[in-house]
Amino acid sequence: MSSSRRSRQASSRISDDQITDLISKLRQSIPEIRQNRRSNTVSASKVLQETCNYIRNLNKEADDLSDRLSQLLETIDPNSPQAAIIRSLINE
Amino acid sequence: MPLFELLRLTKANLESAQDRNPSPPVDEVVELVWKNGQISTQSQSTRSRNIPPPQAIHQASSSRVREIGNSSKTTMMDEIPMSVPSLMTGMSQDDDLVPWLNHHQSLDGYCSDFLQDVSPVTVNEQESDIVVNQTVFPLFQRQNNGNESAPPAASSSQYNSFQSHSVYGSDRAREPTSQQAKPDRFTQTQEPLVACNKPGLINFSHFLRPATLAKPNNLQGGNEKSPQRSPNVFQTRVLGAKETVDKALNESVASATPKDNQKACLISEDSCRKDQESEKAVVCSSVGSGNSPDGPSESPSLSLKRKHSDTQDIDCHSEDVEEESGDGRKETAPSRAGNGSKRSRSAEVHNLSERRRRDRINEKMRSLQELIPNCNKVDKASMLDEAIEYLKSLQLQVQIMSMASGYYMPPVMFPPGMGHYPAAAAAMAMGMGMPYAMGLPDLSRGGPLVNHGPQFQVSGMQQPVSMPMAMPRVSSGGFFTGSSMMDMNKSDDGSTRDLSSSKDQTKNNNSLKPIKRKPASSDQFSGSS
Repeated sequence: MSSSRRSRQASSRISDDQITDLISKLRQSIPEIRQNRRSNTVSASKVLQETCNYIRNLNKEADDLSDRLSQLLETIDPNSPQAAIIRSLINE
Repeated sequence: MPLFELLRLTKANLESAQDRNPSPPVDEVVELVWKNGQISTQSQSTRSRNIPPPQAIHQASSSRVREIGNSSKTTMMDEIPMSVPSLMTGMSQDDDLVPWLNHHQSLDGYCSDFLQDVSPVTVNEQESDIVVNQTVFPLFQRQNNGNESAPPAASSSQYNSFQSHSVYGSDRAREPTSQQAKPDRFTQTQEPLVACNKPGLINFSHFLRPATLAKPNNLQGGNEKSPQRSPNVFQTRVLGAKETVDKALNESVASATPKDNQKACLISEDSCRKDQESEKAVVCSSVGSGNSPDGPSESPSLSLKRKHSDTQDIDCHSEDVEEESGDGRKETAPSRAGNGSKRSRSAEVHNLSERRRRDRINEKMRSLQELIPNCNKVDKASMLDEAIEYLKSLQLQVQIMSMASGYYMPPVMFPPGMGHYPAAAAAMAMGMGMPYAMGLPDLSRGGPLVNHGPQFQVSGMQQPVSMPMAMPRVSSGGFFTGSSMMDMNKSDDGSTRDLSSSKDQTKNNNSLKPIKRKPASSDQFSGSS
């Protein structure tokens, strides 16, 4: 029992450290949290929440931009290299 | 938005093609189309034609009354001038736009209808049996040598197409089902256009169609509508001032039906063409967010806005749910712990709060996992790793795409005094974008961000574009490549292939040599070659 508890705690400790690191990494990537809250006590749930929102916003932005680029693609010569560039961006 | 782009392009073309109009094209066109008494396309004496106001008014009003159903008539009327002048005048002036329109089949529903009407340009039929067009046709024939095929100008051809459509309106059997609605709209729009008998008219009808596309189209070109409404409708337009129309547009937009909003959004976008595009899209989306537009016909901005609001609602809802569940647990905890000692109670409370916190975090992790594509990790740490990578790649992609769109979209943004520098800067952006566009698929798999960085030579290029920290090594090389790509396209030296590869720096270097046309950029490039 104690051994299992210890192992459980060990594993949880490791993953806790990992999770903390990852959460801090996420925090750095998200401009909202990084700029607004300079404290080290941002809760994990808040970070995760902001991450989800940020990813959604980025997806939306990417869709919007790809729409724009597809429109632009129509306006230029389809055989030009710029068209190839735009197409590659849109497909991604 | 697509329509907005078309409008912008056509407006630019119109401005460049026609120097006869000293006044701003938009204002001009608006006035032109809607100045009841004298629908002069370019507000020039050469083109001004005076149509008997009552005729045009009656026809337009009658048709419009039918289509709109009396409620949002002002909306439609308001929408028309803004959208018509810019696009159609541009189209009439520039044949290149027509193939563009034909090719642009992925637009919204009304847009597709719009384009379909444009394609059968040469379909001109002289069936003047339509009551609506009776007064109009003679005018049209007089002005445009009839509706015969091979009209001299694109405008007339377009006009003919519209005429034919209006003709078809009376004879539904001839038109395919998808186009049946269009002729109706066209008939309605025919009157003012024909009266003007100008490219501006065509433009107007062209735009009027999409504007009225949403409305039920049972318009048979009858004259049964009450002419009384027409004066009011026209008067709103006769104002002629763009600002006035804009105000009317905005008002109508605010009160319009969902479909109207879509069109109004386009029109408002068109009216605000001079403003930033983002503002227009935002305005359009803000207008349309409150309504429930149709699925196929909703504009991208509207759909995006709606999705965003939905996601926001979901987020708020999830947060509320969490708080409620937490409160519920809080209430139960004290009641249970009351029987035990203080320590156990505190421990229990602590456990409960901890559990609550963990549940919240797990829930967010699950939602995050759903957002990340192709995430089959059950481990928290690896999932967070993937989330971080995905987030970074998304940031990169969005930045690149924004740069690309910024470079390609407003070619007239740069002042002429800047010369080739902005082009080079934009090219650099594109150069940055190319390698990373190729590398983005790798990014999603967790590859390094600067995969292609070392492949590009470093030149003494300046760095006008500030890139994110993730691309430090590629900066110079990327800029170099981008500018080279820019010039490659124009030099046609066969190095354009490099754009697709973006990994052959040797080729890129060689491609720079023929690029001597731009003194400003060549000086910068000479360092590498």
